[in-house]
Amino acid sequence: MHWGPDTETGNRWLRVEHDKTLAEWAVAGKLQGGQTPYFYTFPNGDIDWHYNATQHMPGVAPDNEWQWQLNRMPSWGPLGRMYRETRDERYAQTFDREMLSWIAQCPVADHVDNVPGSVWRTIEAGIRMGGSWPAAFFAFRRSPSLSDADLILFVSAFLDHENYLRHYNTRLNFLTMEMSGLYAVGALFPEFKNAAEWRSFAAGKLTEEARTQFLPDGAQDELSTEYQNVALGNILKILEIARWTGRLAELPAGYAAPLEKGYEFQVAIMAPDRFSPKYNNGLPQYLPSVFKLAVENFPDRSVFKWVASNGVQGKPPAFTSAFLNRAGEAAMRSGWSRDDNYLGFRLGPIGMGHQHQDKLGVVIWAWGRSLVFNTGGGSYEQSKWRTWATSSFGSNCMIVDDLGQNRPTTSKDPWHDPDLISQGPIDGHWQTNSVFDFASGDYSEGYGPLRLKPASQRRDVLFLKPDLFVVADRMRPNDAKRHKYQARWQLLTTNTHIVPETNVLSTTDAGLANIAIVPLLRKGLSVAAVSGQESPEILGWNVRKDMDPQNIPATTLLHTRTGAGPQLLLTLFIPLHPSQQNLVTSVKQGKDGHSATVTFTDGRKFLISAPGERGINVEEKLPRGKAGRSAIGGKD
Amino acid sequence: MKSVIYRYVIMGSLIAAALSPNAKTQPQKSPQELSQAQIRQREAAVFDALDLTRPELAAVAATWRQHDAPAAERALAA
Repeated sequence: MHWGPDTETGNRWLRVEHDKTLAEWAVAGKLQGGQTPYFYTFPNGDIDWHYNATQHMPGVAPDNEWQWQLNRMPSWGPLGRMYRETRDERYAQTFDREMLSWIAQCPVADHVDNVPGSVWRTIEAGIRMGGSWPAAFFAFRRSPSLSDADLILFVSAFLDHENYLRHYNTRLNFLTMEMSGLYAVGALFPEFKNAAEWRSFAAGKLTEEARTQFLPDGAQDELSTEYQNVALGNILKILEIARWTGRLAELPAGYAAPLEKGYEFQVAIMAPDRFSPKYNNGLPQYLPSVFKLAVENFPDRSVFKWVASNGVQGKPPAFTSAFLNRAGEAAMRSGWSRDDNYLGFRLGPIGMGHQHQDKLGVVIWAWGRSLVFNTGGGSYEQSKWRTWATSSFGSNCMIVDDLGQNRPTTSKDPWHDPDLISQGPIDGHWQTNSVFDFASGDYSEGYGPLRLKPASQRRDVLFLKPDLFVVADRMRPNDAKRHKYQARWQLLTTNTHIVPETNVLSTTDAGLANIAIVPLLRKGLSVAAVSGQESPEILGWNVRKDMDPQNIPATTLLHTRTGAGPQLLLTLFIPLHPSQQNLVTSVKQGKDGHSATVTFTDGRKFLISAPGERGINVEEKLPRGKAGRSAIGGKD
Repeated sequence: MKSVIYRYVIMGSLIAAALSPNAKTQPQKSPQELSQAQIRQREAAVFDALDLTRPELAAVAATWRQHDAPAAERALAA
């Protein structure tokens, strides 16, 4: 049977040094659980599959993922590849020992066992069936170190998985992993009486999910830029296995067709450095790598080729900026090159699972460099860092009376709850033309644990192409009391400078693109930048996922104003070329309370205003009084 | 006297071991292999789940029907 890279005759994908290290460590009983970079050596090589090393490591936050993912058997791939390369029986013996100990310790569950400490979390069951277990089966089945009885025991554990996944499966990206695993074993062992039914069940489920799990704009229901690809990859895995094993005819016609939108969506929000913005939980998604799969499955799409080949083949999209009206995500860009300007604006629902409390958050790439950033939420550990990174406090959001957003994350009927999933096109007041882009969104769902509603926020964003972004935050209190409003901007550097006269903050990384952040209405506004602070509250950190060190200092810029009645915070973002420094010489606030004139070092002036309930206007005056660009955004 | 000192030494070493940071870092001793009964049960589950009418499993079917588990295993693993 052909099983892609894992069959004896397949491409071995041997990453020699890396695999050798991991395989040798496995021989010594040293394993990595989770994706966190922590290894643990089991005494005498006796693995306890319920053990969670992160619960016992000084200075390391407990992380359930370590133990869960230990049960993905991360060493079996390297052991198998090294065995096929060297025929060194130590690798086979190590696998055999691990496999037998797992079967001895882990009798199959009779329920969805998705709790801390479980060895039968449904996604691990699916993931190991679709990955490490078949890889080990093909690598070691001819090894003299495995007795016939051992091999039959191994097969019996595959059988356990089939029965488990067939009856105990869940939803969303979890379901895609569960079903791709079920299909994999149905294809791997067609000799089982129920194999065809398992394949049919799994393919049927994911045929349906390909249609229901993705919104009309191509976003997956979780609105996470990482889990978008978990779902896509696992649905497509069935297609791949069907190709390998000559079972394409079993799949429904057009099985993968709905997924094309899932890739189009990612092109539309792609940042200049070819990563997706990190929305909701997620590891960074580098799209040239991700799109190899898109090209394989949709070979006629020139744009997919362009992304996958890093611009060498195919053609870039015909559009530049875009609004994804079901995810509620705006992507404003000056072009498709790696040094263009980009702003991402998230104004839609919170999504299903993997949620962050960051409605109306923005991210900015200045001349291709990520500078106003989202952390992605960090590792799935229990820590103050994780709490901060998924909250409004660690996002580019407005904090009200020291409270963050608190949108509901669950619902009795999530698929029909507009707070979780859009039920129709979202009105983002989207405008796009050759001069500017504009989008607008509202937040009124409450703040803090009690979901108090002291005020609501309307955030408008205008991009004056190609190089200026303006954000207007209109805060509407629900009573006559004074309230504290704090706009937070998370910056991916610790090198910053604030000019006292204008309160303009510029990042100052030599030789790199930078950004200047200009508060336009400074009356009553306090401005502070904080890096690497842990107490009295976390400020200024990049909380990374599954990396060591996990957290590295960044900067949080705070724009704070306290007052009664409506408040307007108006902020200009100026991307700076590597050769440029702060371009602003003066900022003069208008008497109307909603406008300011900004003078640049080259003599240009910008009149920027946010009158009324919605909208941003920008007028550029060139040095000799000639009119420059002009934008009136948000006037329907 | 010796026995009292000895008792304190033992007790002290037990306390020290309990307080040692390494004490908590050791996983519990877990079974590393199945019992023979469990192995037989699992083998039976595999052979029962197989479609022994498939031509390529004819040798497996023949040996399994004769209750010759080792031969059936050999035939299946081949």
